Amino acid sequence: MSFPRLRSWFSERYDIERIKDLVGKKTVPAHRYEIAYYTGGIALFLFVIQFITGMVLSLYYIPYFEQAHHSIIEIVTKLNMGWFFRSLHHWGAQIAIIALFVHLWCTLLLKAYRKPRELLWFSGFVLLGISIFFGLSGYLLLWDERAFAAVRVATGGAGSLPFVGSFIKAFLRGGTDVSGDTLTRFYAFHVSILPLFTVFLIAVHLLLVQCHGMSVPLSVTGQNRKDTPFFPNVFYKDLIAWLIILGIVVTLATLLPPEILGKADPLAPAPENIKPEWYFLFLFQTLKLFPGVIFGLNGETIAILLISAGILFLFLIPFFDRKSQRGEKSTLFTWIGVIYLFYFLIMTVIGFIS
Amino acid sequence: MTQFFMTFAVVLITATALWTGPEKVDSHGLTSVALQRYDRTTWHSPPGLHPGFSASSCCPWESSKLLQTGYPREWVTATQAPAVAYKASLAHTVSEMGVAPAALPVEGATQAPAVAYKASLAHTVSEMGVAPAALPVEGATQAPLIEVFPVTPYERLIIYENLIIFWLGIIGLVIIIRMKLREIDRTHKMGIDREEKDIPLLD
Repeated sequence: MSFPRLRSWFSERYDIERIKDLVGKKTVPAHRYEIAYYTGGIALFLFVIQFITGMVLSLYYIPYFEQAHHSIIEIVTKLNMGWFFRSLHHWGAQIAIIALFVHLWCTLLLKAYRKPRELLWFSGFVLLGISIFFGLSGYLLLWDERAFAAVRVATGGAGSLPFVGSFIKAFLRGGTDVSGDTLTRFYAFHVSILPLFTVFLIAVHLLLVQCHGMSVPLSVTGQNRKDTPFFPNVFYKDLIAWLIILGIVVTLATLLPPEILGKADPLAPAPENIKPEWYFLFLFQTLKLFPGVIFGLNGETIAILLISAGILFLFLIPFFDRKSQRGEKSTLFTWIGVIYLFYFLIMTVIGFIS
Repeated sequence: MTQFFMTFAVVLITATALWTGPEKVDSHGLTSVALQRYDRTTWHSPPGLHPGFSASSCCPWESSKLLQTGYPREWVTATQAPAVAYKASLAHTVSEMGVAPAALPVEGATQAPAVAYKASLAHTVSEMGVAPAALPVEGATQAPLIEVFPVTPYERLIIYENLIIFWLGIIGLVIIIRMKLREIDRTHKMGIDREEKDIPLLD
């Protein structure tokens, strides 16, 4: 099964030996935090699952408000394995966002964003933002009562931003309120605009990883360690991780298929105890903490400004953390990372159980 | 005298039955209202039926053609008029899908408020229309959840079996990969994976 003629056909045209050398020479640092290296691979694998299942679903989905809900019901109830692909897409998205958050926090706590990897951090951060927007846009495609109300709340929240808020809200909704136009717009985002950006950013991210090599945490820098060859050792471990993740996603998709509520009705009141998706719960819970009016100003606007400032600080952290840039330990930023992590976890849990 | 009363009672019951029709409950215990609510929500086969099968083959209230289903003429004419008006106000979708009896206004409910409300709203609402179902319907219940997982025990059994086989496959693959990794480590420790530069070639 070595296909010598095919191999020689390629080697006459392309420098395969050079690629083989590159793969053979690539090594991964071995240390006690090396498990963090697998989180990126898991996120990438889940992106692939999302792309495949999304493509399958798009063959049958009708992106028009009158038929959208019906077409999903048709996919779930009439198509062979339709329910499974939809469920796989749903759970794949949830686990992908979890993997991205874990990857982000590993990078943050291990200071992998430090010089010269700032662009890696930025591209990864934007990818997380895009993934969350993927989730929001995909959520509306269901066009059921809950999705409709949730998107109305989410886009309304964006409208609370001063100066640009109303523009963002109108841009997202395609009008004054969530309507069929919003569905068309979100569909365009979900299946063409966001995937294009995602593929580009993933390519940039992977290229930068190859360019800079794997980051080594400050605490293990300078220690005598033996690097592990990427192929086949780390690749095989990656495969194991992917198989287990695939098993988890398939199990969740089988045992907990996501429900579908009644078709969205703009006139109907929002369903009781409506909550956003889990990755928005910390925002939702934070907004609840703020009173309606603070010093005569809109409380929601102030809350959204503060949250935006917090996210912007996290985004620009490679520039603030000067000690890490110099290769020194920066305990302050480790604590900042830990506080961010706990705030996110606690608010999400409170939002979930309340 | 008793015989007269009994005959009168039988006649009365028969007349009532003819007027209102017998209680239309299908084999799954769903009444026409329940079925119609289900269909209106899902536009799909009711619970208990295999996906792809419709209740229309056995239940007359599934049909959009009221006059062909043998409903009392008065009831049909009373409900058909708003149905036509409603159908005319909407685009092809509703007219194609038909308006089923339970989706029509029940006694006391009229189309007028819906139309007036519709006129006062923006294009979204006017396009989507306000179905009579949005009006309070006596005895209406919460729309049931849509089955997102095969309902028949046979299908469920197959799915759970496949899940177990899938996990066995994953565990098997993980074991094979781990064995392979150990083998790589062993050869690496022995140093036999490195190529010798001046190795003699046997020609």
